[in-house]
Amino acid sequence: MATSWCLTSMRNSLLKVVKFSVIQGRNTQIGENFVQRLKACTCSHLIQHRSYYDNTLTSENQKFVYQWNLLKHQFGPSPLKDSPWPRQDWKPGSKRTGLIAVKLGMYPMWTKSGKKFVTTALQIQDCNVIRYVPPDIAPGDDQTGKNAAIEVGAKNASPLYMDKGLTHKFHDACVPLKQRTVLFYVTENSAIQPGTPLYATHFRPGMYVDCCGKTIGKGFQGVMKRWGMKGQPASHGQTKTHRRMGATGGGGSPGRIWKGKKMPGPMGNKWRWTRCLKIWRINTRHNIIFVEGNVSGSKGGFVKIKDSLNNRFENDPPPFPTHYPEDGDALAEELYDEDLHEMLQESVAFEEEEEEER
Amino acid sequence: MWQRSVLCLARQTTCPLMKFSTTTPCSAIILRTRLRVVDNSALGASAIDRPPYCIHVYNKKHVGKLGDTVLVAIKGEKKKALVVGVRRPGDNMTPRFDTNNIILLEDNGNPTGTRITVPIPSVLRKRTDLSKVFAIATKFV
Amino acid sequence: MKNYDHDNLCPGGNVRHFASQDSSGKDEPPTNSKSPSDNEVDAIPERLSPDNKAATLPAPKISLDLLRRRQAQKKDQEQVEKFITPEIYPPMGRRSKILDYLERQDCFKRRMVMDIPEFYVGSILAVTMADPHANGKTSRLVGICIERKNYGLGASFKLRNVIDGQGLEVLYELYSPLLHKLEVLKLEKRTDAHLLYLRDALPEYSTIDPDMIAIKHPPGRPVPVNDIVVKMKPRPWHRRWERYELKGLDVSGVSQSRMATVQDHILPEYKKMDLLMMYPRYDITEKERMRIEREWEVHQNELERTAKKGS
Repeated sequence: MATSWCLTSMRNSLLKVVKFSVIQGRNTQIGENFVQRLKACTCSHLIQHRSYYDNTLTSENQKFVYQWNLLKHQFGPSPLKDSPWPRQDWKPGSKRTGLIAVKLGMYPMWTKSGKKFVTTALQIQDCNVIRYVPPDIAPGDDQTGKNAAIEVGAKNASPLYMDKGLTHKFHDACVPLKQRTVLFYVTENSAIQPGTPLYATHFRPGMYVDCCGKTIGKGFQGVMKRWGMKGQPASHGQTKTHRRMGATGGGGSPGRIWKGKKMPGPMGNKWRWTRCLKIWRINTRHNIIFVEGNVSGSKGGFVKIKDSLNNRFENDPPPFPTHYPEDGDALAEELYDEDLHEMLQESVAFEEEEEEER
Repeated sequence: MWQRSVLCLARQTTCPLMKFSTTTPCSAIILRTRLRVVDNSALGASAIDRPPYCIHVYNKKHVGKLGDTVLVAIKGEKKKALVVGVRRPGDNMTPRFDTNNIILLEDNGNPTGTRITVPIPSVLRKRTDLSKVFAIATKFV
Repeated sequence: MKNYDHDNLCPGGNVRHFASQDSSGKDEPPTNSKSPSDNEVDAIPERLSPDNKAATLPAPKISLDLLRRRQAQKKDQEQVEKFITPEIYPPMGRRSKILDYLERQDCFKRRMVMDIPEFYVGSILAVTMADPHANGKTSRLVGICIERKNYGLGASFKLRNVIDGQGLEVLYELYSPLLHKLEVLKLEKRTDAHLLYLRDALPEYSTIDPDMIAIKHPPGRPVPVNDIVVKMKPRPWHRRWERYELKGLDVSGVSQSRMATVQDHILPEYKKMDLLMMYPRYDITEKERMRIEREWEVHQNELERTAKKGS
């Protein structure tokens, strides 16, 4: 069984290697390992390892496959398939799309009054709109029910590890395959054409955002760590009851345990929102957003970002439906909030109040 | 001068008759924490052989911090005192002292002594109700 | 004003300093010993090696002296290692290189505004800081640096001093915009990585005059190492310092029963030399280290350029 699987996969891979070499127009160097394994296929009892798909590709061919994945959808200077869609203006109550970012780590900053605080750095990596779903087809937001949706993808993925059935939407949008896609509910006027790249300048410093990250998994945990219950004392005649949860509910009248009772179980590894975080700084070159406070998740994890309800856009509408860098003037490399102390500014000095009074 | 201070410090942390330490390992001001009187009051000076200790902290956490009022047992008396220096580190850029320093207060809130002999942290100055304490202070850090 | 010698810095104590005991003013460098090592003899160029020994003997003697002097000078120059501030090397762990780069650039930007000089644990510093509660809205503290910690913009250092018999410490953030001025009054190193044990040492070792005049360090000279051994107060201490393998600590006063347990808490030699144990410490690759050093050089050149423009 294993032998046949191995043989078929090798045959496929050999074919692909030859195919790539034809496309690239150069000689492929098939690894020695590959030849040895091919020889070993003749005597099945000698095969002891499973062979994976890309084991047989040389490093040169692996690079080539990756580059080809990035290039094969680009048919000209613009990655967009159709002519640009008409853009609409911002109205009160309209909802923009969110972004997918990668959490890089924490970063200290100071305000202009000299107070220190920490921010989380979120980088936007290869973020594209993948498809727009009009309101009549969209699965529907529970709150409004009539919203359209925009699917956003982030971080280019290798086609070697992706199922072919999942790649169709990327082919339709003419973008490279993405590691993570998320559906954001938007109003109809903030539709964006599939294939449009999204940048960190979708937001501006001073805006408030909601961030959602996948919390770090803690495994199967007891009730004291998972729910913060008190447990029982360590001594005073306790037998085998120190970190248990105690009573689970009433006796005869319900005759059962209520649904949703807090009990031991798997902890963490869940998407959790952190609301209303201020953006202090944006690096437009590396597409990094610095957001106040903590965002759940580990370094390198994906984070969803979207506009918070706390924003007051009436007087100062945001870039709508997103920021198009080719439209306006080039932005500065670093965008700071007004209250932030920039490192090239002079040190904070407090003025003496008494002299002013005199 | 420094020899006197060393003796003074040593007495605070150890009882002269006991060979082992009786200080709590915690540097926070909690119940029975030995304190150092840093004003020039007669009562504070007389309590060198047996340092005063805390018997109550007037805040909700029951852990004394900078600017908190504590009740101390000194020479068989109960006296209110103000914490003007703590061993436990606070915010960055604020001083952390080697000892827990207090000044004794009267019942009406005025300080008993007429001079504070050691520097006190300038962060205390944001308290507006302690102007009488700042009047007798010699140095701010 | 008082006179401050190199040898006796603190008015109260007899702290030994090694700055003046170096052979700074001597004509002959210390390497010019009676028996030159083989390497130095080998280093004589071949053209000096004589065919006729008797005729050319005096000539190499002079050139030998010259050579040795030059070599000694070169050695002196090599000994002065390029100072790179320690907080720009990222700690080990899974880190983002872009974020580390941004953090380093921010550090350099701050250094363009405020002069952050070279200093070590054991140096004597004076820090002027904006303080909304102080008189004149600035406060100045003189003290000995007992600890340097943390990475990047979060780097910090601790100053300690005894004022009016009251020992106190302040933890300063190195890149905080509240700092106005950082002066090094005496540049010096100690034999230990931190001096936290000064809390339990006699106060003379951490007493520094607040009106101290800065002692200038001659540029191009190696930083002197002060190998003073500190006497401790009687117990109780903050920690069991005898367990920390500290060189600048006098443990003669510690009882035998306590010293007997010390060996249990010190890593044995074979574990210290274990390559597998050392492996995670070398998390920064050589390439990364070179890149950081190059960035530091670029920053130093830029500093020089701005200084020339200003003058």
